[in-house]
Amino acid sequence: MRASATITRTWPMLAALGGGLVGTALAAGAGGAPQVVLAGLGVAALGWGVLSLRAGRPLAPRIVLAASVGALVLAGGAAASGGLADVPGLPLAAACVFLAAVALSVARAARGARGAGRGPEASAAARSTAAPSTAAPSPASEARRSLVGLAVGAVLVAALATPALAATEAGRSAVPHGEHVAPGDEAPVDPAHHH
Amino acid sequence: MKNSPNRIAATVFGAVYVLVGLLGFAVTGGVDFIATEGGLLLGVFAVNPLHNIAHLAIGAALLIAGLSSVGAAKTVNAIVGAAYLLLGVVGFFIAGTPANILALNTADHFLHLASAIVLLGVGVGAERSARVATA
Repeated sequence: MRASATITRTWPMLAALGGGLVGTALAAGAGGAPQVVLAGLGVAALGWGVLSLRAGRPLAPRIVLAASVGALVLAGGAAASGGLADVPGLPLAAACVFLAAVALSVARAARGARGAGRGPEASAAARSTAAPSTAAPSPASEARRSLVGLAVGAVLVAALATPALAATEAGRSAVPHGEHVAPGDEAPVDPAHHH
Repeated sequence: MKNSPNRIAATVFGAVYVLVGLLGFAVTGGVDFIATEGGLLLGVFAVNPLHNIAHLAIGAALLIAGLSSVGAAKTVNAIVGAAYLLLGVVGFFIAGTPANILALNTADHFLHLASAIVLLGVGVGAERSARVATA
């Protein structure tokens, strides 16, 4: 249990990084108000991910939970009303998956904080009863677990985020079209792919 | 070294990037130095000579830091991770323009993104206490 917790501890933050990247990529291909909202959400997610990684725990879980659920409801409502007709589906779905992962993890963190926050005596008693029952793992095994957790989380996030990023308008123009073009042998320019 | 996630990550990623940089030169023989479309490494990763040098420099920095100390590894990991993440974001804004000097494609994005997340995560999140600086 403790080992799996060490491995997955950073995954909510990594999900936020993935969601932030997809959000900013969607913003790069959007315009007007959606661009501002997506860019704001993307940058906020990236910032929260980095700061939470630095803190070693999900920061401001209640605020992030409210913001994540609000963004999911907003995206669902906008999609249902046809307001996101111009936004590609895969990146939007990926962003929602990342948001949902963050929302679930911060909900658990908020519930844990509420349980532990019933008084200093209660949390001290919980610590004193919990600590002796679990032997402290060696630093080497702890380091390996945290690194394995980071690597697995990074691969999972990249596996979802990369195709989502490639499916955004900006991502489509980043993918080389067709065969490798030798220097001096330029391919015909397709104006539709240039912005 | 085996107790430090930062040193392990820096050493492993550094060795891989140095190797990728060296292999990259084998497939970019006739490609312009900053060509926007380069050769294909392992049939998947688009690289050009500038990209290879970037891989070599980043790999060398990571490798040296990983073999040196926890503090150096942590600093270089965080810087390289943040830079790669920024590259991922900026790459979408410069793709399809003459500024696309790094020959980005989907496989590159996967490599950069996974690298960025691991390096940034370990650099920022692991070994926060100064007590482990001597590990």
